[in-house]
Amino acid sequence: MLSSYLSIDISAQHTRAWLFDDQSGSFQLVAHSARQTIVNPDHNLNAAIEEVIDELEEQTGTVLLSSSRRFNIETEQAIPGLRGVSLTANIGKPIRVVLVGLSEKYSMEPLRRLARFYNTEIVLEINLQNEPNVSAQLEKLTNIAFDLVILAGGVDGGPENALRAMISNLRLLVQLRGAANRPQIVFVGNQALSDYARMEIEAGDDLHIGGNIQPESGREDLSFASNAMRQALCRLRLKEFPELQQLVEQPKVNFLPGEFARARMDHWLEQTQANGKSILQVHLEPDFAHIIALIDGKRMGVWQNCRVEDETVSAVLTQSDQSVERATAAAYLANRELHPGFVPITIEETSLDIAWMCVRIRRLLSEMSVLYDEIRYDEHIGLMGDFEPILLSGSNFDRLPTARHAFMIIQDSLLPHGITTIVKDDYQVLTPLGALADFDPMLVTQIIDSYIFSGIATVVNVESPVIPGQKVLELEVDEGYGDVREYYQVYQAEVKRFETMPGRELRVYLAPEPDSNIGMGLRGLGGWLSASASDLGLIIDARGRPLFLPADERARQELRRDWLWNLGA
Amino acid sequence: MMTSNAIVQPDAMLTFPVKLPVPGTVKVHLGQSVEHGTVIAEAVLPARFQVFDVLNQFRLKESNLESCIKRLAGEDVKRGDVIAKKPGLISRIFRAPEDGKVVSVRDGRVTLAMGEKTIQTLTPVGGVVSELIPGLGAVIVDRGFSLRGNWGNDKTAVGNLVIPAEGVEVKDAIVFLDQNAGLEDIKAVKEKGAVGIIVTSLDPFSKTGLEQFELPVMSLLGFGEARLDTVSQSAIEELQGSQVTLVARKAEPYRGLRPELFQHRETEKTAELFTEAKQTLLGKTVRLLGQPYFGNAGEVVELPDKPERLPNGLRSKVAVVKRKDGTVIRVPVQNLEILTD
Repeated sequence: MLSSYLSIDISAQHTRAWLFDDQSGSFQLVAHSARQTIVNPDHNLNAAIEEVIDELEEQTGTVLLSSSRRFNIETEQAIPGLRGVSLTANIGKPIRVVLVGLSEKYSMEPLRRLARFYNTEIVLEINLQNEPNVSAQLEKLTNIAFDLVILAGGVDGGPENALRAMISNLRLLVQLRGAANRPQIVFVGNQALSDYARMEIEAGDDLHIGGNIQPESGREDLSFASNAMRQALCRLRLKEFPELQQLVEQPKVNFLPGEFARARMDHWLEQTQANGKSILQVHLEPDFAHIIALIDGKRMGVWQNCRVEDETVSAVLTQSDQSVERATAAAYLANRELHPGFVPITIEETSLDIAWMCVRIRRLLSEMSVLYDEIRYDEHIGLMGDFEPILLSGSNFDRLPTARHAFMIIQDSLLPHGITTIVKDDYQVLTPLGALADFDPMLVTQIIDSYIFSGIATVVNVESPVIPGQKVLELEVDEGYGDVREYYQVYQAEVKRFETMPGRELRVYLAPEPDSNIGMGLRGLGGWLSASASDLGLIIDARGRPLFLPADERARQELRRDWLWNLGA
Repeated sequence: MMTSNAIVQPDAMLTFPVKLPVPGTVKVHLGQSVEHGTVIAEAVLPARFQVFDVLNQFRLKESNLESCIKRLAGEDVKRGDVIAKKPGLISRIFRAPEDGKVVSVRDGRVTLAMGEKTIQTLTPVGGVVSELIPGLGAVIVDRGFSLRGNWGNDKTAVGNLVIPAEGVEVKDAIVFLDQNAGLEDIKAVKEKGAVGIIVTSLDPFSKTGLEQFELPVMSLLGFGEARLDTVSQSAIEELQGSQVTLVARKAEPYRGLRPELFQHRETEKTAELFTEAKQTLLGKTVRLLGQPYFGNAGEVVELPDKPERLPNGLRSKVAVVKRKDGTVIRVPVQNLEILTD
């Protein structure tokens, strides 16, 4: 019996749909469609969804939506239909959040980490230790507009008084706001108070109780808040886009904010890969960026909406490989913010766009390194730690002239260390797969096994204290032609590329100089490396950490162009 | 994102939600005509709260609590009224510090709400109430002429549209500056008493300052050097001297909302509240985004089906646009704004 699943994702720029089925014996991506999300007051999100589904129907000849605009869900085994539908939203205003916790270190910091994973704006923080006056707490809550309050604090069974007082305040707030306008409330604190919170606050479906994100002193686990956050965010998005309600209410339709779906996929990838390394996913859309890291099973992430500030212009100009007037760059970036769908045409515009992507990724990493101790990142030294693969998704990466540009953006912004692989989600399936995983985990496994991600490159990042021009690494390259071996040398401040052929693995023996670190555990330690076929093949990046860049602006721009040329652009 | 709404619309519908930041009472009804400045909703909030923890402050046993609390939730209290009293040789008393109301007696804590503060939300635009937002406000709609801009600082104003010239009074007017204006230019107009400012384009370095600027400011094209197209120019000239509403709201791309200059006009086409969007670009007058043609207008003369390769190597669906000077260029469709339907 055929199993087919439909997934739809809505973002401000594009509405996309994917159809998967197992007609060939294992799950495959049968068709996908994407349309620009064109909106005006009489053209709501449902119209955009219907357009992409119509396109899928045309491509496949399958009826996915009935004439009454209901999903054609399989109700009986004998009648073919969809086994499940997922709807993900990467659209909407930032959710205004109030954070309430018992202490800076043990509740406010985890709460910030929790909130910043999603598309949120923290409008108020109440640290109950710094603000013990219950009357003042209540006044702060009643005087500010917000959509969501997240309350945490206390280890399970620990002191309760301050939290009890805040819960009473929330009760009052809920009463003052009335049922139609009350905020979503997420309680993820001392579990001894969860029943009390439920009975006291009386907010019905607007109250979401999760596990304690700090169940024991010194132990933090934000995943305990995941379900509660998911419910709260779904309710808020449905309030913002009520037209989606009729779709979500249908049976076997799973509605998720996009952040959850992507994070779920990263978890899955980390669990299934054998190399023991961490996973990093960079998702760039014209209007927002989201980064997720998985380190030893711990999920970390930051969402940032695009915003051009004065410092952005300087950072972009420093990164650009073209000479552009400051005023021209500032105007371009400001207009780019107004028109996220704008397509760059000239070399200068493309250069500014690429530089801006680098700057946006750096900002994400910088914020993530402030929030999480595990993320060790410095804009000049780069991202420490072993991340493999580095997964790129989002429509920004689709709008680059070549894979080389995507590679340089990631290398220049992350400045990774050691050996890693960069892959790209060409079909943007991370979000739909994460959302459909609830229905059938085999779907995810089989689709990923079908090589749906494209390899951009395998990279060896060489770190050495020597001056530019000195040798840092020797390579013995086995391209698979019998006993033939090629020998190469790599010098400091250089980037070198070795092409790979489809279906043929490239084997390389890496022999670093005694001072060189290539991520094999010790300086000077080398070994064999196998690089699978990818767009760019194997790249040796010995440009230094920090990069060896001339102080002179023109020389710097020329060097950046040279690096791109060395990759074959 | 390319919206299907044109920049210049002689018969547009202005939709403007007016909301309180916190819930209160909606003061208008569906279908009501409202003027600029009408109160749409009002929230009366306690000016202050006082939470008194009777149990801990009086060091009571929970079993003694009930007899100590003298007022019930919902009761009005006067300044000096006894709210809670611990009997004994040395009794302790908690009195209401001001006139107010007991809003909660829970868990050994008494919460008093004292004083009143009123928050009102007024409509900055005239029109008809088309939808009530329960507890928060209403959506005001109006029909008329609309000229959409690209950037606004989230403020609104009503006044006569004025193009500055020698001897022209700009006090209480909405002023149009046909230039790439900076913060200083805009401040100078404000000094002369203008209530709102429209510019052809803005100096990008003024953006941060203008976001916080007291007056509504709208840029028609966006940022950087640009010349305004003749269609928009004519629209401005047509509106000159008459009363307009400057809705310099921030763009909400996923709702198709942009800042706009609006003028109410009587129309007989009331049945067309929800016009079918015309999907094709062919034959439309469009405005170009991006240099070197930023702000130029032209007509779409061809829409090739297949994406084309651009000078930078990207592939994109393009439109062939014939500019006013007769030159024909190929532009990605995302880089176009529809000027008129």
